[in-house]
Amino acid sequence: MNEHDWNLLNAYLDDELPSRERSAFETRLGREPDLQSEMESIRTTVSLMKLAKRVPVPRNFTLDPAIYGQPARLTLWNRLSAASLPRTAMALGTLSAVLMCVGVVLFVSQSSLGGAGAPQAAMMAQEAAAPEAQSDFAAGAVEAPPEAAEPAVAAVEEEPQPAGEDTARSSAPTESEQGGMGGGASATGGDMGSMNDAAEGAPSVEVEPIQPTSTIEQSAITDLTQEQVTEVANAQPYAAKGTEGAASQEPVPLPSEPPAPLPTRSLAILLVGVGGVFLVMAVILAVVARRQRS
Amino acid sequence: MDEAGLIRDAQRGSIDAYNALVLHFQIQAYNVAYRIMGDPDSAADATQEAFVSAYHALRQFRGGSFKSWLLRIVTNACYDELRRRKRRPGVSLDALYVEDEGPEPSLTSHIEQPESYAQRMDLQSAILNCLQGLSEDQRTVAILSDIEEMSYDEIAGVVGMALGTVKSRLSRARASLRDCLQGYEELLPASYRLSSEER
Repeated sequence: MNEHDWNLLNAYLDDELPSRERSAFETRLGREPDLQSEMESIRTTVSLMKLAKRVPVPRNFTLDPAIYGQPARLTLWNRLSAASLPRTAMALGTLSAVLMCVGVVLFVSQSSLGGAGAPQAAMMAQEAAAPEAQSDFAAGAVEAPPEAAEPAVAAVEEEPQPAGEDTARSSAPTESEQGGMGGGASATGGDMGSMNDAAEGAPSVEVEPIQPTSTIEQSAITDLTQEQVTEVANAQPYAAKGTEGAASQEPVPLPSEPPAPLPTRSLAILLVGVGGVFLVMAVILAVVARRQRS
Repeated sequence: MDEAGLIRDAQRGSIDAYNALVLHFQIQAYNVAYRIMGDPDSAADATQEAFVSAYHALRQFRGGSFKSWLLRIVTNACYDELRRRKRRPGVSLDALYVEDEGPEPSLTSHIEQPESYAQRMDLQSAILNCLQGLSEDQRTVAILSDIEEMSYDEIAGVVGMALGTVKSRLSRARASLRDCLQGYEELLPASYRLSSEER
């Protein structure tokens, strides 16, 4: 007998079959003795089960009004107060402490930054101006050698020494470029080095005329740098001065504005405030929990 | 009994109304628990726990059959207790002492003939033992159908199963019960004997 027939048989016994299925099953019962036999055995089993009379209750299961008297009001409050209230108070207290600490740290750090705000702004402006000064210097240094190097070249040409002349001519602009890239001190040293090398190759060439070239470059560098520093110290608009100082240079990008301190400070105050509210709530909950316990 | 009115009052916080519902349903609830658990003390504990749980969950009752809703809580309380037993398999001294006694017989049992009373108790014991041999699901379905005489729809509402599942569980449960009760042939009344010759 398959499971479907078993289900049909039990549903038939329990009167749970629709009328059409019921009549079809009754037709089958008349034709199939095995099905009839199974049905009788199950019917007897069900009848036996129905003999299992109800047993009396050992006691009443009514609830004590003294304990369960006010369910509607107490349900939520009991849940809170039974175990959650002290835990909630503790969690709120911890959270408030963390929030307030973070807020105070933020506030103090912001205040210390704000107290040194003016020097910092000057430093930032100076840092931003440094590349400009360097580029200005480079421009000046590149322009300077043709004027300053002329006497040197002329002096060299006065005493014909082909090898030294070529070397001096080729090295002078090169060193000027190097000085422009690397700075005044290295430019001077570079000049001296190259000229010494040239002098070794041609001892008759005088080194002296070269010295003024380096001095001119150095003085030009010093002037330009002092000019730039003066501009920065006067706190004039950066872009306007920058374009004047380096007329032939590319436009200098404006430095990014320093971050406004206001949102951070507001956030710090907000954190401290929220932490304070949580702290008050934690104290209230702790007091209520203690009163309930007592 | 105005069941709907009592439920409404109980939901509003009337413990008297809820206790009236308890008194009305406690026999059925306890008997279901007794058949599932198999011993009176565990059944009483599960029944009490179920009535307390039902009281706390009373506001979640949204209408329908209160009996089915309550019996579902009872069966769940029994399953919880059975799972606790499986996790901690140990028998208390009290349970050992009253294990085979069954519930206290009612006053009517004392006016029965001793032979009839003994036969009835044997049959009760045989049914209880055979029920304990079933799985939890099959046992509950068989109890609700054949002892509590609930319809398939009501059973489906109590156990939270589809109607088809209830039918198949009941079919298997009855086949197992039939086979089990054949082992108690000599204890059964003559008209209820399930001899193989008759089949």
